[in-house]
Amino acid sequence: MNNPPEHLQQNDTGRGTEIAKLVQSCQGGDKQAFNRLVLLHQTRIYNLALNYVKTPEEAKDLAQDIFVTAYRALPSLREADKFSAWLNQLAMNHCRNRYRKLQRRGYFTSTSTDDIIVPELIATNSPDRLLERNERDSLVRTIIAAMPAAEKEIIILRDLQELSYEEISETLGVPLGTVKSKLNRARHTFKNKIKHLLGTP
Amino acid sequence: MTNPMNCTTVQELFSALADGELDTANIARMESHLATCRHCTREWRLFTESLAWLHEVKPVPAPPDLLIGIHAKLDRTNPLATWLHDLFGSPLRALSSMAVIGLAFFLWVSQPDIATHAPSNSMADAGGVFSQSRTAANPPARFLNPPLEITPAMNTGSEVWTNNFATQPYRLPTLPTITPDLAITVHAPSRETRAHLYQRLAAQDRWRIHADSDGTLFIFLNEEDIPHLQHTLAPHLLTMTPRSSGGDGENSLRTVSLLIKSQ
Repeated sequence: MNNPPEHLQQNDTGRGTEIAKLVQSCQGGDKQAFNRLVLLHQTRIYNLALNYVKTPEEAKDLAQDIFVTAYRALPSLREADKFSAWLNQLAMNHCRNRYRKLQRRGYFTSTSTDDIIVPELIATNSPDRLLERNERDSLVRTIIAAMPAAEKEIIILRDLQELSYEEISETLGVPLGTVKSKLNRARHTFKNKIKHLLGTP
Repeated sequence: MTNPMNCTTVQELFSALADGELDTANIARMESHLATCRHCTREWRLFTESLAWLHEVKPVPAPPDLLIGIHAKLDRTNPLATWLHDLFGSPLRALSSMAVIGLAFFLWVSQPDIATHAPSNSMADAGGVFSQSRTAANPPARFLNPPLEITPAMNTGSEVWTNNFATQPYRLPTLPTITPDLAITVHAPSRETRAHLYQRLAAQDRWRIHADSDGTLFIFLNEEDIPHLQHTLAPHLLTMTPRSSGGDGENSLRTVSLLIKSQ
């Protein structure tokens, strides 16, 4: 139903085989293969980071740290065809750690949907017509940032990163059933926040 | 006749319905409920609309210098951390191993007849043993060939970089602001060839050049500058493969490998 956009599709056979070969070459010391792996995954990883730390500078730094760790840990990866899932897991750990670290330092201002002001939305109840695409994207990211950590995480993985249920289950280390129920809860939370902004009864 | 669903059950299945994860029997039961329940119908409409908002969020393109920054970070590796990692594995294992070593050392120096009353030749012997350890006299290979140091010595528009390619500190022109669409790795047969190439390439401001500690040169440039690069490398270039590879939408930065012949 929700096919990922072309640049995010990683599980088709051709792409999967290419990635597995690149991983093996990289494990054999081929740096160009590593470059290619970075280029194939950088949009996904950068956007994942951006959802956790907000500023492009911080997200770039975080994404680079993720790839640096991946490069160093790559020799320990036994199943080359699991690279993307392995990288997701590694990236999630990095994002969580960086988020906690920044939170402790007071990097994030506390965001509540009560603080989000969208006068056009509230006035007209017609978001699609009034909000520019960029404004809407920005609003969505702000709403997600204000969600509880566990719900935010699953909604980012499924609806922004467009991972399958199985990939999310593998990345978060939780059973498939838990993924489904958590996702439903997170999407309801998101819907309710939109509803609150729209002033819908 | 199938059992009707209540509002709670229906709303618990919104996500599965939206993702096409429900079987036909459950879809029919949900549709039957939605046809008669205005509240759930309104909630379902809001649910799908908010989901559409989420799915329409456009991914932000990764910064063009993400890759070059990764290599810069890989080269800034703390040699001690690398060595500890090589020796012990994970940082946790390194820490615990160091704690054990530290404890052993503490216990050793705490023994009065060894630490405080040991004759001087015993200390010398201890030093002799230590000097044969991997730490001091027999370091890992990477220490024998020190990692590349790229150190901006000044920050006044142009920068002085020192590294193991250039024999002298090399003054680079101000780095151009380019959005590269090609990443080139140069494989040169010898350190001298690499040093020579590095100096030739660094003198140009058409591209960014980066050298890592393993002796690989990375050149980031725009595609229209390839002929210029080929001209610059003409006396050395053996093969250039592939001329273009990949090129897939967002990830349009492509990689090309150059093989340099021996001088």
